[in-house]
Amino acid sequence: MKREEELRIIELIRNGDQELYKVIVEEYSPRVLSVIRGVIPCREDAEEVAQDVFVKAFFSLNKFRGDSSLSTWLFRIAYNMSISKTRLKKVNFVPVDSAQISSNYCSDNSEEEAYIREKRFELLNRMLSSLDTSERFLIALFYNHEKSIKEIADITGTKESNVKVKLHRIKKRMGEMVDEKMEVSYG
Amino acid sequence: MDKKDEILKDLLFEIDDKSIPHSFARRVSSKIDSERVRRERRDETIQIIVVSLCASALLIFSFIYLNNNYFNLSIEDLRLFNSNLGVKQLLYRVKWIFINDGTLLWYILAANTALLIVIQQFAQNYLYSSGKSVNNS
Repeated sequence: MKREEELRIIELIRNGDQELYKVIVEEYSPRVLSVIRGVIPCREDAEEVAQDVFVKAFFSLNKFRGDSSLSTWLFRIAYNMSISKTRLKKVNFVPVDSAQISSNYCSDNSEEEAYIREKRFELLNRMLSSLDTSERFLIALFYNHEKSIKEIADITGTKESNVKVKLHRIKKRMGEMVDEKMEVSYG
Repeated sequence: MDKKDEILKDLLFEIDDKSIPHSFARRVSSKIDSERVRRERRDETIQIIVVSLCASALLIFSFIYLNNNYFNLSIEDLRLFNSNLGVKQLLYRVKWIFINDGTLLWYILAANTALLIVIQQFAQNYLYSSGKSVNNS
């Protein structure tokens, strides 16, 4: 969606056209839910938080000044809500189940492929369980949503230098784990 | 992005699930509706509390004003429990608050007002029931 169109829709919603909000929800819900799923692994909980993000965004639309993109603004709400939700419920990392996310995979039934896939999921679980909530959010934004350092700083409300340092540390930690398993995973 | 970044991205892509349930937008809409109702109720409650507080403050100040100017009671007189009064003295003060030179007139006024309210209620009930019987016939 183009920025001008986005702003026009927001203006119409502000003027009382609630039906148009569905356009925003349909446009951004996959990305918002995906980034929340990186932090809250339980699908039902993540969906609940994602819905609450859109409800909160709807009632805060008057506060959206348009300085940042709508996605950045929605991610900021999602970040704050995910952090408070995980603090409140003490959400622990749930290991990723390979069968649960097979949709992202080309189906290949060879034993060797299945073995490599298992190893990759093992590595992924080890990597993700070593990260805290905000770190998981950070890597989801950086790798899955290709957000720039500036945008991530905007979303998380921290300085760009802090984001860089955090990402560097995460990358180093995860990189070491990848190095250990490189031969198995990409052998 | 270096090679390690690419590997990490590749790995993380595997858990990046962008699927959305069909009912998602509908559920958001219904949550917005219930949140709107909740906010309206909350605003109404806040309004009621503010109005009640203002009315209470007005009532308190009018009582203080009436006490000072018409019942000859000062705030000091009303502070019954601040000083160490004996029981007899305390009862005397309470009695004095309700029965003194200025109160009789106000008792008469209050009794008249109460009487008027009772008469008005009776008249209203009578008119309501007679109007109902005329409509039924």
